Amino acid sequence: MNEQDKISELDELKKMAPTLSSLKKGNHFSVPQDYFDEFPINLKNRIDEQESTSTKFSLAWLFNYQVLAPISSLIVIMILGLIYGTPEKSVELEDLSANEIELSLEYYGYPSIDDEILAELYTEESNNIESISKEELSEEEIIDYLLEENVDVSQIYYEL
Amino acid sequence: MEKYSDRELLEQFKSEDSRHFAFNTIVRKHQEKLYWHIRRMVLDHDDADDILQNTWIKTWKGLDKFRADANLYTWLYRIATNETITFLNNKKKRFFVSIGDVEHKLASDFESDNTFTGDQIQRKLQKAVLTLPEKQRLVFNMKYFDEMKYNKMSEVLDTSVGALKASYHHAVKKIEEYLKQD
Repeated sequence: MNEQDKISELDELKKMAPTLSSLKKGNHFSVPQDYFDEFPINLKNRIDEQESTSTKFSLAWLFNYQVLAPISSLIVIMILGLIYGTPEKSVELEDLSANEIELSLEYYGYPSIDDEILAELYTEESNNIESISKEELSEEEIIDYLLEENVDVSQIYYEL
Repeated sequence: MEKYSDRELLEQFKSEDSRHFAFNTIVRKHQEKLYWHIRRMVLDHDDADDILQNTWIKTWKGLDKFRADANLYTWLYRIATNETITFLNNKKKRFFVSIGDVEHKLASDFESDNTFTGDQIQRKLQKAVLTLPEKQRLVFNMKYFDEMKYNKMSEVLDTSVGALKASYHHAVKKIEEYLKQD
């Protein structure tokens, strides 16, 4: 506020409130000794204290039972989901051809495969061969095949 | 301390290396004016000290977002004023009394305040100020004691200059009446 403004405001105050304007303006409150020198130090201590408390609080928040329990449950569920949630792509035995089964048996050895399933598969494969033989093979071709393979015809006759 | 302008200090505050130095300098530069602004409203030193600390803690937290083109002192004044009003409202809630009764309590506490060094008439002036409604008291203190311009007051209190002038005139008349009483 410049001097001119001050004077005009004082004049206005004198007119409006002569008693108030006659009072000497001044600060009549006191503060403890060195208050303003020590205040910034005390303030810094309080800010440091608050910041360390807020850091502790954020860590304590993590270890709080009410927070820890749902988080750990969620982690367990996620691990179980990873282990059991994605099934391995399994190949059904029924989907394999006889050749594929033979190849895998030769390669992996002879694990315990259910005999019934194996017999069923061979029957199906045999039916296919039968259907092929009925439709596509002539009698001559069958005789040639039996001679080539040195098949005992009497044995076949006996089996039938 | 005074060799740095507020703008320079705000620039320094942005840098991690000089942040604490800049804040400390800002505190030392403005603490007294803010303290007296608060003290005149709450009268008690311990209350004023608490409010002043809260004011600076809020400043520390918010100074990052402060726009450098705005007036730092006005902003600080605004925070201090809001903290003071919040304190008075909390005091009102704590004692289950109206804001007028808080001022009555402040007046009775002031009677026994030995940190006040003024004479009888000065003590009477303080008691007269305590009879004013809260907002009028703020306006009177800012104009009469702090000699703040109306446009600055308008920024701090978010009130039009016209309304502030009217409020100040009412306050002065009431105080004059009080001082004339025996």
